[in-house]
Amino acid sequence: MNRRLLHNLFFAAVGVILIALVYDAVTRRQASTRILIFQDKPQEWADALKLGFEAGLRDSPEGHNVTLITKSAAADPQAATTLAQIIGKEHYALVYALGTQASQEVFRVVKDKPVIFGAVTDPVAAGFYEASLNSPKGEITGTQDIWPYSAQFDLMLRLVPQLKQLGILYNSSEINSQVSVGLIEKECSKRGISLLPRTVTEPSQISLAVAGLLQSGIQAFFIPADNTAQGNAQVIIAACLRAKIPVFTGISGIVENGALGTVGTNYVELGRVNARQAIEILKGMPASKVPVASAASGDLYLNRSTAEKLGIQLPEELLKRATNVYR
Amino acid sequence: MLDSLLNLSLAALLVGLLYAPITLGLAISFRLLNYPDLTCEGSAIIGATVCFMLIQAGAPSWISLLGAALAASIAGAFTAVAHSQLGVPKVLSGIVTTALLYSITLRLLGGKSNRMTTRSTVFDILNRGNSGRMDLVVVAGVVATLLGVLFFLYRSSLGRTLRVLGDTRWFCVSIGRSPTMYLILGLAISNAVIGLGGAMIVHFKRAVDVNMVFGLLISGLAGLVIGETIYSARSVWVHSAMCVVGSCLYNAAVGFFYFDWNPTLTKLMLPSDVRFLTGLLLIIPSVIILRFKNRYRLFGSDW
Repeated sequence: MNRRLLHNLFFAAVGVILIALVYDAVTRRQASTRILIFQDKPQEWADALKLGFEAGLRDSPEGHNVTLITKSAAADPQAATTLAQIIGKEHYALVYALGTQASQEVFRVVKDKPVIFGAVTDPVAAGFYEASLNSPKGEITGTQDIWPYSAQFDLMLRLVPQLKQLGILYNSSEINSQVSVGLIEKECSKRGISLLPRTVTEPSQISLAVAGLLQSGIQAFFIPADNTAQGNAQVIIAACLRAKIPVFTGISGIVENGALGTVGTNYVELGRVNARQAIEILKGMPASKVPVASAASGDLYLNRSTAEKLGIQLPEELLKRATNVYR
Repeated sequence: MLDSLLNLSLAALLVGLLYAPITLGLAISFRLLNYPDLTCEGSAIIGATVCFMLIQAGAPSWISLLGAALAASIAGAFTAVAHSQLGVPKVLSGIVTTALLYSITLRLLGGKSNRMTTRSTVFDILNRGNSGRMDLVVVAGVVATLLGVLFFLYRSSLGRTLRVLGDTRWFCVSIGRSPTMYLILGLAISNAVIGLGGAMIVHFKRAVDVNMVFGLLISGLAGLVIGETIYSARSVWVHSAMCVVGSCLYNAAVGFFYFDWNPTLTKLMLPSDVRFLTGLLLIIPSVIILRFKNRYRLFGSDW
């Protein structure tokens, strides 16, 4: 290596270090307005969350001067680990992680900054809370992508005003179903509807259980967030249609296959809820004090041919508001 | 930014050491044995799963690591048996095992793709303060132990026979060793090391996820080749050490575009552009080094 090259290299190194020192000082000062968005892979719902989060921040006066920085591990789990390590040491006001895996990755490393998670179905099972949502393991809060049950019950009562008895069916061995059923019970007791639950342990018992429910005089049937019930939605829908009982659920795919309607999770809306939590934290509230939330409204899906078979008139206002009306 | 560079180096060192067993395991199959073993992702996840189940059952950390290595070595042996006894082509044998293991993993995890440990892992026990520096010490300790074990393996007659098998198969026959038996043994050892890597990741993340091994084969091979490119080892133990260095350097390259060293660049690029830039970053040094240096070939393999 000749002398001139060494000379140049030395000056280049001095230059880099000088720029580095200035840059570090600047970011440290700006840390209070910098928010990091951490994404582990490009996914449609994650992009929707990000969109809602940005819009939510722009709409509020506190969120105006915030700089949003997005970092994505581009679907490489190993890169996600490296990225989380780097984020843990950089200066940010808070970190917004999209989805369960990204949130787990960040929460383990980031100890000195508040973390907001987006669209985690069960934050307790993900390891962010001790036993219930009241005991966070650190400075963390966020949103759950559980179904908007309140909006779903509004829809049910709108289409079936005489609803007094609601039938549901779930697999007693699935843990996630118990969460779903608990929330349905709460909504029912709030609205004076009596809930008739039936539990099954395997798919072959479903037809019998549905027949039993139809015997006991239900006015509507609800398919909860239960893999067994969802996987056999066709059986349930066929039996209920024969008895002219409408079926509701939380997934648009089941509506496409013959359920009457649903209100599904809208991830842009969920991102806006996250933005409101972020603003609370920017105002100085500790993240552990900000309650975990979920979206209050969602996307409306209806099935017109099922409505015709049931003899239910779909109100014009609902049809206009619907994201999709299946035939 | 100086801060960031330091952070990047520490992060790359930690993650590089964490994933170093994968590179070391791949070195055994791809270099020593000269066998394109694609079982890597399968044996890493089965190791991770078995380790997770042992942690949940309350077993001590070292048993969970050994159990993981054992389960993964069975997977490696299966690959070798599929090739040598059932006649499955070399490349396909590993793919088949990975496919089989995916379903087994989900069975073992009770149909859930992501599970969190509720008991404490080796990092919770040895690193009570949960500091980043101590994490590094724990990982470095495990990798150093592994390198020590591999050192003795390479010195033993078993290790030398494995090298003979990889270099010239017929010579293995002439010294009176069965190539089939040694292939089974060799792949079992290589995958045991990889399974240990998977188990370490579970201990570190306190969770197991069926998707966490996605792309592991590629990054492991990248570490292996980078280590060989920057310094052509003339002995097997230096080669092992370079595998660890290569794994760290690969992670440094991956993380290079994650820290905000240039605000204009951060603004201009999409978050998804990182991997393109990483690719460029990896090309340039290898081209420069390979142009000015003759590579010494330690192994007969040409993968």
